Amino acid sequence: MKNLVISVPRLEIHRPPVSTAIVAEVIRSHGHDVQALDLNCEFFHYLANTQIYYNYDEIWDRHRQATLAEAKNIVKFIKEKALPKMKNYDRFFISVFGSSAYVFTKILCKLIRKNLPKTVIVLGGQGVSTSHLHKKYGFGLEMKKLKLCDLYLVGEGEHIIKNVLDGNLSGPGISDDTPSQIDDLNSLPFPNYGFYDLDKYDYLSSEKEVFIVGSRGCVRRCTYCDIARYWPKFRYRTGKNIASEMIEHYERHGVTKFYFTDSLINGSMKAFTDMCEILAKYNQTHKAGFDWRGQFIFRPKRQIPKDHFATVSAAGGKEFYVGVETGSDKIRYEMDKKFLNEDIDFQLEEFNKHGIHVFFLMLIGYVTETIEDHHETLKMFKRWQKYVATGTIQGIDLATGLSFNKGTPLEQQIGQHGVYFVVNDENGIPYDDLWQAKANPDLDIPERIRRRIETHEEAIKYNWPIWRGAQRLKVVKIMAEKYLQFLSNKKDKKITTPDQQLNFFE
Amino acid sequence: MKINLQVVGTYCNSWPNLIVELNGVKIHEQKVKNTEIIELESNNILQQGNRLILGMTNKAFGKNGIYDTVVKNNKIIEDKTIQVLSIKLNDIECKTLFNNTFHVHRTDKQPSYFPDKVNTVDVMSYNGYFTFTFDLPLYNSLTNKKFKKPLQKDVSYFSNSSAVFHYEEETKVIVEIKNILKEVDEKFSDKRS
Repeated sequence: MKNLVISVPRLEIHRPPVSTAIVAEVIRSHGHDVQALDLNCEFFHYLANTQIYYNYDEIWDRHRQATLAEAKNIVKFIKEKALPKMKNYDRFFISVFGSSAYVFTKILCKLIRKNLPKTVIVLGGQGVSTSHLHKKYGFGLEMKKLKLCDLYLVGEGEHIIKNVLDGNLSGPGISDDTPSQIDDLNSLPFPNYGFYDLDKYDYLSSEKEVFIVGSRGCVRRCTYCDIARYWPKFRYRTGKNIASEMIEHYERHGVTKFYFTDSLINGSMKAFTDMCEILAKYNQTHKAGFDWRGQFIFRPKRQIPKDHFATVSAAGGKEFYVGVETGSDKIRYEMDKKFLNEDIDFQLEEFNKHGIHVFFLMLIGYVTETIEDHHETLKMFKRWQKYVATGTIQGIDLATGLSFNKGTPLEQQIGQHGVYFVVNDENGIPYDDLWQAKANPDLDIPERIRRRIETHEEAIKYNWPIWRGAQRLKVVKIMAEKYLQFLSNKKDKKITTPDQQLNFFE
Repeated sequence: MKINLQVVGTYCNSWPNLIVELNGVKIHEQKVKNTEIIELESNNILQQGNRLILGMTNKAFGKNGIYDTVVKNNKIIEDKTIQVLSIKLNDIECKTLFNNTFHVHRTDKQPSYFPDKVNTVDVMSYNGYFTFTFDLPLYNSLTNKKFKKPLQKDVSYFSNSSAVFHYEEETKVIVEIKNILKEVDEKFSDKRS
């Protein structure tokens, strides 16, 4: 069988996709015929300009339906550009990265069924499962029920794919929602970017950049996070193994910039420190100029070895995304984050000293948040404004607030907090984001929204670099509108759910 | 406001003379002998349009036949200069605000066609000055001057780094949300939970 591994919009266009680079390499390493096709990248080049490509984001995110012209354009692209490249293959492995891939994947699969009826469609990726608390099943099963795929794979593809290649079409992770996990990540092949034309990507700078997977799962169990649902156990590659991969990409493709997909790049201090020491030495001897970034956790000051950040910087560590979440130590403790504002003080100063940048990721309106906690959050903007002015803090994402997701520790605490959800009058399904808690009655929905915008205003007052500010606020506005509609029970103002928005293709 | 300087002076006939001016008032003057760390404090700060100047004043270009640059075999072997390694206002490095521009004050036998501005990151090789302006609140102003860029429209919102510090659209949405909350409060305060 000839296999084609396919990436679909929407993915970031700034780097070649890592998941399909891994899957294609796994298939190749098992001796099967395989190629990779990045339809996200093809679509980027198919459209007249960058702005048109980004206009489709609203469609992929299902914030609006496609216009007739846009819908026709998607279909035309698939018929004229994608299907001709797919016609010589028997089996398609389509990577569904998340919910923003649903629209395109559904159209693609329909057109495959119509035009290439004898082929096999296998879906994989995190997007095949659902994190919505009130949704019964995920995208993979939905597509299977619609006969738009033959199989969907849940969990880590590397060894499930081996089963599929061997003709074993049942078992954990194969059209079954029990995720399959691999214990030894060091045994896995490196992603093979040779399947892609690396010159075709819209890199954020003049340098090529690729993804690196250093670990899977997370060492923490933050109460709101569903990562353990997909990857129950935290596994990590050795520092030596990760550094070897980065050096290989540098020596083979000239790549110097890397973006870690890990939940936490420093989840294992040992692996992280080992990697940094190897890269720092390599940088010094080869003048490679590595530059890498990823998600990071602030640790208690006492856990950080002396000169740690000097080594991180020398290794090329440039920018870290940190779940600070709140300015309240109490709330961070209740989230199970295990670090304090004084640990942030220390790490910001170290980052500043060594030229490392940081992005704050925030979660306003946690289920136990009191007005005093909220005031602690407001205080952080003044407290750390200095690091905005030095350029150490490069961004803050204030996000849209707490949602209850499947498989999170918070889901288990719903009863304890007396959480209840506002129900959508149109379909009778509760909204995951419109909740209130009997245990914390002061934090009702309007108060949560008020705190969210007050936090935004404080960030503006102290001139913080708010990322995706308007887009996040528009989602908060939709929450406010949904709540108002719920209260006023206006039947004439229809709320469209993501599923309804998919109908444009019909 | 704290002003912290780290400067390096090089000798030729005498040490270079550094002048620091804030809003037209000289707040510091000294000869810079090798590396010097200078800590200043000033409260002469305006709400808007503050101007800081770091300058050199005593380099000779032929006055009484003296030149404070010695050239031998086409090579400078001695030169009177000041290099600004660091200029911090309340702990914030501001050197990039010089914008690589040194304003020349022509003296002595320097020809009239010598440029008014020369391109240099941080070295004063002529009499003249580096300068930048700032407003209050200080951190807000320095942040904008250092990092705010024109808003790019042809980049995804997801990775548009130029969108930070442009709050116009956010402010508009905040007003819209407040109006919804007001309606919720006015019409449904009895039904909220």
